[in-house]
Amino acid sequence: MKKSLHNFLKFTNFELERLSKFLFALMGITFIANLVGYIYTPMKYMGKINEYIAQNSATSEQAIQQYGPFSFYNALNSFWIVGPIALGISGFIFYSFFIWYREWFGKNTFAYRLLMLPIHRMTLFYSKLVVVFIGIFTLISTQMISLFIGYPIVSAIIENTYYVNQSLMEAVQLHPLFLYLFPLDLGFFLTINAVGLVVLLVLFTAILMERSYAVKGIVLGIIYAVVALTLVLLPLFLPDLLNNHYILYGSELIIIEAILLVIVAVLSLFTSRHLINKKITV
Amino acid sequence: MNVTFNKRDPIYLQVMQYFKRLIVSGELNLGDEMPSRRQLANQLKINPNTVQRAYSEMEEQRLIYTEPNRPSRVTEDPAVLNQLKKEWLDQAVSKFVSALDPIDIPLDDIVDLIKDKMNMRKKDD
Amino acid sequence: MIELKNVHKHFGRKKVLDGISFTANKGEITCLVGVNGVGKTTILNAIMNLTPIKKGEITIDGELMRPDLYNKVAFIPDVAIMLPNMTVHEAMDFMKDYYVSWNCKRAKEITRFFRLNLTEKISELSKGNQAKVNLLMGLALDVDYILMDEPFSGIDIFTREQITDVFSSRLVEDRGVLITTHEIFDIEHLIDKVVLLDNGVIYKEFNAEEMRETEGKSVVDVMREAYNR
Repeated sequence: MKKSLHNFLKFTNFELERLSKFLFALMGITFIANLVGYIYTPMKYMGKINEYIAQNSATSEQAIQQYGPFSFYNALNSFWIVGPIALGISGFIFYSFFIWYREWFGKNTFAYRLLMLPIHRMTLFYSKLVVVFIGIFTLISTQMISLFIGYPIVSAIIENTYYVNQSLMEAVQLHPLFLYLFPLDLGFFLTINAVGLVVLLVLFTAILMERSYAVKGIVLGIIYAVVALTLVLLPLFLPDLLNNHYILYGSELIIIEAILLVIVAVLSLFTSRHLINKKITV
Repeated sequence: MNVTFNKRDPIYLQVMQYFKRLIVSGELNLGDEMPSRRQLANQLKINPNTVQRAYSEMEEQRLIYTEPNRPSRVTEDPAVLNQLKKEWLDQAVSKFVSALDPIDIPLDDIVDLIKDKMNMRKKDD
Repeated sequence: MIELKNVHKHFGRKKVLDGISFTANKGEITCLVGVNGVGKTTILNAIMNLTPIKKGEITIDGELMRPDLYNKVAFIPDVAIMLPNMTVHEAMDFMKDYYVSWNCKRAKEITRFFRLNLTEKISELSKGNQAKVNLLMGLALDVDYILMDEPFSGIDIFTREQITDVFSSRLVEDRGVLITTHEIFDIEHLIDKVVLLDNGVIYKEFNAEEMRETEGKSVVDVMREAYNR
């Protein structure tokens, strides 16, 4: 047991090192793009305001009427902030595939070595899973830290007259994207992550199916993913489908969802264990 | 040490033949240490099990002997050496004679030819 | 003893192994030779549980393959299997981290024997040296059995000589070696046992030295017979 844990930590550390370049690149892009956003977006706004005032010899009130006041939310809702988040999300979707396929494709077939390590093969599976999550959380933290840095920058650039004094929390809560990323509402945050974890488990299982049965495995994997997803999402749409909105109470729905998530997770883990131990091919 | 083995005769016999030659010619003296099995296998680039087989056979023929935990040695019994030389000569002559079979030639002529050849070889040395 | 019992394997409709049974013993060098068709590499992969078999059983000293047995059996495939951006040194450290059977002293000995530069990245090595790194990763493990897949393929003659030397050197010692090759000439004098495969079945299994002794045939002679059937 102790040995397994040791192996898990060792291998996770190894996988983290392999992730680091990719992660640092995403973190760097996030920071730089955000920084540009914190400076460029308010500067552009101030530029427009000043131009309006100069051209129309208007007062600042008239300018506000024309362009509206500026809050930190305006800075957040820009390409410079949303862009890197979208990049991060697609980056980690890509990485969830890449973390497996890089062992087979590429210059050297590292899969041989990994599958021949004298450790339980599920250790590889758990490590890869944890590493994807660590990567995602690291990137989310980066985004959070960046907001703290950006907040004073934006307020410094925007003149008081035009600035809507909004707390950082208020600005963040206004933006739907952050509701999904940040632990603003603990229950919701946990749900999102539980769903994320199950989706990743299903994806890993589908990948192992493809690695075990080739073309047949792709079909199998897609079917498995669709069935699993349907199972998990069905209760959410059940009221609409049955045209009966009173069929389930909110609390019942949550319990049913939780049970379904656990079922799909356990099923995926058992399937994956069987595949990686008995069916996988180098 | 360099031996070219042919691929059709058992390697262990070829190894034995090689050592017999060394012993008969005096390159290996009575009581000399034999190379270790592993070392020999490596030098001749053959399987250690084959060397083992050759050594066992040579032990059986009393050409070499092995005391526990010590390297094998060439026999110290002069009678074995004499016997080996006799065998060697016998084999060589048999081969020679059978090679002459197709040609009809008087024995005296052959003896003269042999004398000439042997003198030539001595001069070359 | 590595034992295969009635092993079957298909690739789609194609039968690759159709009831293969043989043993590879400790202290012997067993050579898997193919008359035609594939299957040799598949056998090694199957022994290492790197590909599933459809039917049959493979045991190592009577046990089915499980993770800790990778400390007992090493496999040297004919593709590079360490990460290309690792240096030779890093690759050795990686092995040391996971295998209790990794023998540092032996590893050092092998790097000297092969004249490998430890600080060089694997991707920057020549093909021959990459093959040597592969060998290093397998030979430095204190295992009972070593499996090698085509150790001579695409390698220059000098490297080839060095690899041949491995077979009769202390690096192999009393282990059981199972090797696949189609270049039998290099090692004809080194092998104990030959398993001749033909279209997924075993055409002949024999001891090379016994074959020379009783029938006066070389390994290549027997292969030729199989070809010309």
